[in-house]
Amino acid sequence: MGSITFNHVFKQYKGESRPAVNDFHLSIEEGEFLVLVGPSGCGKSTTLRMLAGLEEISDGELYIDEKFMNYVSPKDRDIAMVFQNYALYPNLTVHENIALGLKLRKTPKYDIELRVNRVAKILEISHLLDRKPSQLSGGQKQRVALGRAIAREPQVFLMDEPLSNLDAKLRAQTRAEIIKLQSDLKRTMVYVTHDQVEAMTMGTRIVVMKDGVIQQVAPPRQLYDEPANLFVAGFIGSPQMNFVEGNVTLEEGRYYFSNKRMKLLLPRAYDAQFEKMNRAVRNVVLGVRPEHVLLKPSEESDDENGFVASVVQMTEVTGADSYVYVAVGESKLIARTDPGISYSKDDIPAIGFNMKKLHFFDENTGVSLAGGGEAQ
Amino acid sequence: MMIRRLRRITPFQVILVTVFTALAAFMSLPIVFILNHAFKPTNELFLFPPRFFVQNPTGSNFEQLFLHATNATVPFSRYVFNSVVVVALTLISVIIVSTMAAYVLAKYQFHFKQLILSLITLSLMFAPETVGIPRYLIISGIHLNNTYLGHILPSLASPIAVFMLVGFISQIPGELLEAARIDGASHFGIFTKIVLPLAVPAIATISIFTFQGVWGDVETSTLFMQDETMRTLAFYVNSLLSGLQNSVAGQNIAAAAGLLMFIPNLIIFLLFQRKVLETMIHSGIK
Repeated sequence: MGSITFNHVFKQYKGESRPAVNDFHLSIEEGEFLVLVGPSGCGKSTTLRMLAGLEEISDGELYIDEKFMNYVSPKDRDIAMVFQNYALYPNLTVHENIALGLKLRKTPKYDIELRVNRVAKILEISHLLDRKPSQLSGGQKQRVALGRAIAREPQVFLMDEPLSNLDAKLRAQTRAEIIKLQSDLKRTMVYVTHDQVEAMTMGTRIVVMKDGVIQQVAPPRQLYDEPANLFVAGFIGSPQMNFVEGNVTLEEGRYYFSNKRMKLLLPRAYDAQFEKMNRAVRNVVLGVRPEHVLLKPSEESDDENGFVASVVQMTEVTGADSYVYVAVGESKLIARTDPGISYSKDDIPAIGFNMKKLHFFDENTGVSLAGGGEAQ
Repeated sequence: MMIRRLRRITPFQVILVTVFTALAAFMSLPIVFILNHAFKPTNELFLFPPRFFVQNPTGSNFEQLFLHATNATVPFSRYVFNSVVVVALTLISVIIVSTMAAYVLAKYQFHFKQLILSLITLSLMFAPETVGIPRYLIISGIHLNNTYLGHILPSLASPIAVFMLVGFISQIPGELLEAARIDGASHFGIFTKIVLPLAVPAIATISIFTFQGVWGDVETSTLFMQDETMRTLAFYVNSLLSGLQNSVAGQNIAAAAGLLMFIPNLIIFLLFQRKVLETMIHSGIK
């Protein structure tokens, strides 16, 4: 119960040249917490709305529990949805808001009471049941919206950026509660967000989208460690991954990454990646996460380990970490360092990389040479 | 607290409040005049220069009005009954038709929607006099003369009501309706459970001006009703006034009738006034 299959689903709006959702092909297992993430306009909300039945599917098939759903109306799909602006009925009390869906489904009265009270207890909104939505704070409205979805006990929960109207502290708290709810209810949940932190912390699997196309589908850890392309690499992680353009050359059986400023001898572990690129000059983009950029005071600088000179442009102290922005020639890099060692502007530390944690992408296509993840 | 509030009043606010109070007082003059006029004895009605306030209030004007009315061929109560039936039925049907039309126009996408909206806006342009003859031809063509439907039908399609309601309903967030769809509401369920309750302020507004329009309307009675028993109170009062224009004795009847016609308007306005203000203040619902 609660499995979802998208079979090459398209959404084409009239008068637009490219589809809003382009060949969305994915299976979601029962009880999975799937997060759709991407920048605004990437088609993630449209996908969710097609799943809810609020948008027509232009092409392809949608199945919920193996049942063909393309033309089934929203109310018959056994889904509940939480909207970004909560969409509570302003003319009804909290109790009536939660109960409306049940009433419309002709649930017996005692059952409605039972479910409303149980949900109110879970979400700690029992004392608010008689109020109107206008008398609630943002966080309380959010709970009521969640309550309305839970009370229905649907097979699938759909959430469209439900936390983006909350302040940072409340967002973190509600995030944790939704995760707990999902694990308690064991229902399939499809969650749309543009916030990669939310995606990483909540999802059991994450779908990264861009321009209506799935970029990568993977569990959070894999998404972080093995991004399928430049877009995913740059989108997931904060501050974002550093990118350095250059080329890979083969000298005496060893591969080197080099550009105007640096020449790095690459460990043998990467050899297989480059052998696939059967070209004499291999233009690549080197990607390295800030925590894998190493800084050393300049006097210890030596070229042997691939350390090169850099200039500090600014530093950002966040508390647990500090981020040092450095320039190596034209490349700008961010290094995550121990806040105990402070760098100030125009310092010239040596910079190097954790050689085991490098990513290489094809400069033309942006695709990872490691072929990581379930790229599409 | 008091001092702090006083201190915040700027000279500009003082001027503003004074000017608007004066303006409001000026605007209320006709109402005060009608109230006083109806109770003036005959000698005060003809005073020159005329007095604004009544000196010796009397109820004799109303007495004379009812005396005059009881002498008429059609009893006064028949006019009142006709008016009540016509106004009530028109009000209810205008609300039903306009809210439904406005909901569809505001929240659904279909072919020629813009054209329909433009036509509705365009029809606001015509003065009632210009459509009098076409209306007559239609009403007599479908044989609705001397029926209540003949009173109701011409005012049923109210472009101004649809226009206002479209503006109001389109501000209801689409997510609300989508949430209701997912909750299992039918199109009609969404309309009655969500849209109508939220549109109450706008409905109150259109009720007021529909009421005022229909209550004071003499056109349907004059043009479409040849049978005196089918005519409304507004028509009776109007004929009374025009028939008595030059008669000295008629002036006190006219003064009393004027007040009688005005009072229901006032009551309806006072009933719905708070909701009307909401329409103007609440542009958003969230």
